[in-house]
Amino acid sequence: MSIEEIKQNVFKEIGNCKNFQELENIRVKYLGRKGKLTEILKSLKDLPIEERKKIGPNANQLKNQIQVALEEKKDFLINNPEVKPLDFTLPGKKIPQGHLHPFTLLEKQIEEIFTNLGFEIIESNEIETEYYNFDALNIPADHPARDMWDTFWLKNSSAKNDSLKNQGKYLLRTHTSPVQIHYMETHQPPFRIVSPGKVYRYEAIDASHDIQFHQLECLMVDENISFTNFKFIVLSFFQQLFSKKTEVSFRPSYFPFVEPGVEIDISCPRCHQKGCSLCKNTGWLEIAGAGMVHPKVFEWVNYNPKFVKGFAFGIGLERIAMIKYNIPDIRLFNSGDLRFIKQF
Amino acid sequence: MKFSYNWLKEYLKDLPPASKLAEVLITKSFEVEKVEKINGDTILNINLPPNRFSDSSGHLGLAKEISAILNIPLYLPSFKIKEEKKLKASDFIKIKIQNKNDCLRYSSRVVFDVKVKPSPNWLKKRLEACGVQSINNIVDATNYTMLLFGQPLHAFDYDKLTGNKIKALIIRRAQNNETITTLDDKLVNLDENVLIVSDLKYPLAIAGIKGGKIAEIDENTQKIVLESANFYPTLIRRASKKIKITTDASLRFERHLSPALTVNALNYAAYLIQELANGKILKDIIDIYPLKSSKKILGFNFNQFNKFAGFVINKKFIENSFKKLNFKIVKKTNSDLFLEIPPERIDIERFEDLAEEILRLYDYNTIPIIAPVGLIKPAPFNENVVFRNKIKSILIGLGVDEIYNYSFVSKKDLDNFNISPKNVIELENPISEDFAFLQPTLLINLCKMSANNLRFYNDIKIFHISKTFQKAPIKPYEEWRLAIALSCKDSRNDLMFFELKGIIEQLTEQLNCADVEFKEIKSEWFIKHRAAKIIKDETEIGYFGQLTPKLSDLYNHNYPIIVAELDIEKLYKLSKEEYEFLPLPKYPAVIRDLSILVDIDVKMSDILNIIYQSEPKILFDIDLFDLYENGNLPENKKSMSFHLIFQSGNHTLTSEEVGKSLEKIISNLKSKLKAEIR
Repeated sequence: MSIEEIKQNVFKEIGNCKNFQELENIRVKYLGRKGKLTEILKSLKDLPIEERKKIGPNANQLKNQIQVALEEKKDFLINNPEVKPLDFTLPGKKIPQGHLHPFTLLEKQIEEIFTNLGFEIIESNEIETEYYNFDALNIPADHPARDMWDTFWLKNSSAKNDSLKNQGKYLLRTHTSPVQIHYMETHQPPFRIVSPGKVYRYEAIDASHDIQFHQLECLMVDENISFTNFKFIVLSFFQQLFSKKTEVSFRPSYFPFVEPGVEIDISCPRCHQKGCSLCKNTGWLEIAGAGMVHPKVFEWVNYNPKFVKGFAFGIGLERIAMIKYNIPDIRLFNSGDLRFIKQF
Repeated sequence: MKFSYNWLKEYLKDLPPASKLAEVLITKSFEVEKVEKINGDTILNINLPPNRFSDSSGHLGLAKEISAILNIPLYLPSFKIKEEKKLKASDFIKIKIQNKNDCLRYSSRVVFDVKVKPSPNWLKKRLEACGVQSINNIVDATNYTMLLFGQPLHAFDYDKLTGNKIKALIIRRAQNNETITTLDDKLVNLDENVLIVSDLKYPLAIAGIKGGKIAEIDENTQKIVLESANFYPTLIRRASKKIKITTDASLRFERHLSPALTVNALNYAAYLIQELANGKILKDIIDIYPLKSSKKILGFNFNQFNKFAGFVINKKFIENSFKKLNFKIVKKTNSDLFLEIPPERIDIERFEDLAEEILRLYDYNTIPIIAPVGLIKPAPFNENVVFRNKIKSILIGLGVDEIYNYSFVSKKDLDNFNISPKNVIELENPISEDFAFLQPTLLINLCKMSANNLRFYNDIKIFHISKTFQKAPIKPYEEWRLAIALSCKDSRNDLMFFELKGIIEQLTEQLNCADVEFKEIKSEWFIKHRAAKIIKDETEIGYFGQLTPKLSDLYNHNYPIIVAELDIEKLYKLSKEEYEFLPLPKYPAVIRDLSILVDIDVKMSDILNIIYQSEPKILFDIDLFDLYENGNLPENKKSMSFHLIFQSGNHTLTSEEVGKSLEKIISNLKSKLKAEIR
């Protein structure tokens, strides 16, 4: 291509070009390392001096002109971007995203609250021996209190271990409280632990009962733990979980592994005690079983109940999720129904 | 347990209205489940804890509790019995307890000349209000007494007992072949685990549970023997479970009543029979009480209490509370109280029990709220929980939804998956056949969930993290696993297989457990050539594949379903904790494209192996960007196109270097795979 030909083409091309990429291509085509004009400029040194004098200034001038044209075009493109009007009411592109089960959402939040309160998360098995699920929690065999926990037993499964602790039949834990015993057997106070997990009850399934659900056990033991401290932790937890406005109420109850035993109610987070269908117009919701750790439980794990005190409470997590997310039926949790899960 | 408001009011003249009463009871004593108005009375349904049956399962006991918590006076019922002067009970009946551990106390009276007839209306109403059926004046008198004192009683027809002048009641274990026909005409087989009350020949009653037909009170009965006894709780509970009979009496006995209750209740029942049936009460009580319990004295230290409560409660309040509860202060110092515990309060055994009495009377809700003092250690994270949460977060980022499901499977499920029930844990008392075994794999239920959801969605991606269970020699084994399932209604969609593979690769990479390998496996669950185990550092961490249509059809699942199951603990162990930074490349990369034509059954992994072996030094990465079958290609051939990325850490590559390397790669592909270069 001669200088003339370049002259004819390059400015037309620059004029027609529509974007930066095209413009860059034009620059490379003519001024790049192997560009057409660059080739000509490179070849000058092989030409006789006469021709060099003739062509040289022309070529250099053209180079400058092209550079100026490129700059001008660039300025033009910057200042006159080519935009088509868009319909912003068109739907956004769907980026596929999965959903966590509402229970996981709740569990994460609860774990975070307790971690901030200095509690360590401990996990334990779902299959337990009678000893850990009942005896060591001061619920001896043949005690009527065992009727409070309808139990799934494993078939032909008596533990064969010699140690007393593993004697008796295997069962699916009916509560997360056995973790108290496991933990205290292997640790010394002071400590604060929480333990979330699946529990099982032999029950008829309906909108508020399932045979499989989750509990969270909370246990704090130290030399000087008092009832006032117990109330503090319970209140802190529920206020962080629901709202600062939440109130808690304690009333007498009975669980063999605590003394005194209490039932904890919280002020209804939906109506704030104005009365609604959730709290059946009472303003309160029953939410946890709790109490000061029974001295007999400490004795089972070889603590001296004279020198250590503690409190424990257990909450049903599905129940909390139902309250928090306005879920009417506990059976939805285990349904695996994506119409339910995709809402979270 | 049902309590009549009107009845309570007889002993508590200042009783507030029922709704107010229920409120105070709930705050300070017991859960009141229901308050309902029936026939001019109000019935309180109270959920009595098992350890308070001894003192509060009768109206009088509950009235005492109410008197204490409301601080209102209690008016005890007054009654007088007239004993016969000449006729002595012990001249007519002998009572023997065979084993003093089985029967802690047996108190008895004999009443002659009773006239059996229907009870007066006031009595019928009382019983009815508390859910007890009226039978006749004698039986009703015993039941009324139970509802008043909490102590169950029984009446035998004296004349129906074996023997002539002197008859006997024996409290003994049944023999293995004995039977009894109960009052409601049920024949019950007895054995040595069941305690009975017998005469010289026949069982007359299942002790503490149910009376028998033989000595039943009927309209002709004239003489009766009244029983007010205390039986060993465990024995009653076991027998009641075994013979499957639960009564108001057995419920009370198995919850441990105080033996101190028997005599008062016995006298009251005799009094009622005297009034209602004109009975003549014989002289003396026959009272067999082999192991008389002694007075229970407990110490209460104020300092210990203040420490336990976490604040100070006025001493006067504490003393008054104990007094209201009838805990007699037998000694008092500046620091301690010594209290005699009423015998019916079997729940009071130690300091904490006393502390509970004070705290609940004080009202839990007025107790201050104080933060615990002491060193707060930062709570360490639970690595396992964190790891599982990380998996969940990654998977939802990849568009997979999390589900929860039951841990149970059925026998049919095991058969479908051809899993031998031998190693699977079975429940002794499943709720139904569908929930009879503990899941040995998460895939079974995931398959069901997938099928269910395809009724509403065209394609689904779900995962589930849960435990699987297996029998093991020492103790049952449980293991955290992750299962993922992909399914869609477009049955031609083979890409799903690679989508799940991609999900697994992404997941493991983000868990710092990258470069997992996939090795084909044969499994009856999966379609041939569509199943692989997942391997990292020579450890198998799981498997994935496409379920056979035969298997998925068993779950009404008629679309392809690709599943994976991974062992979370193994994954956790293999995942590196830290990221490692590699220096950014200093020298430019050179990219060459390579398109080859190979036989259709040549595997990508074979091609990669050959390429990498041909150029171990400067080949940095290989990227498959096109795969093409059919079309204009020769039969049984496929076309594959790769970007080969060359890069060196110490110099800029020259085109000769790269060219040489590419030639070597091409020649090896030609010779080893008969590849044609396109």
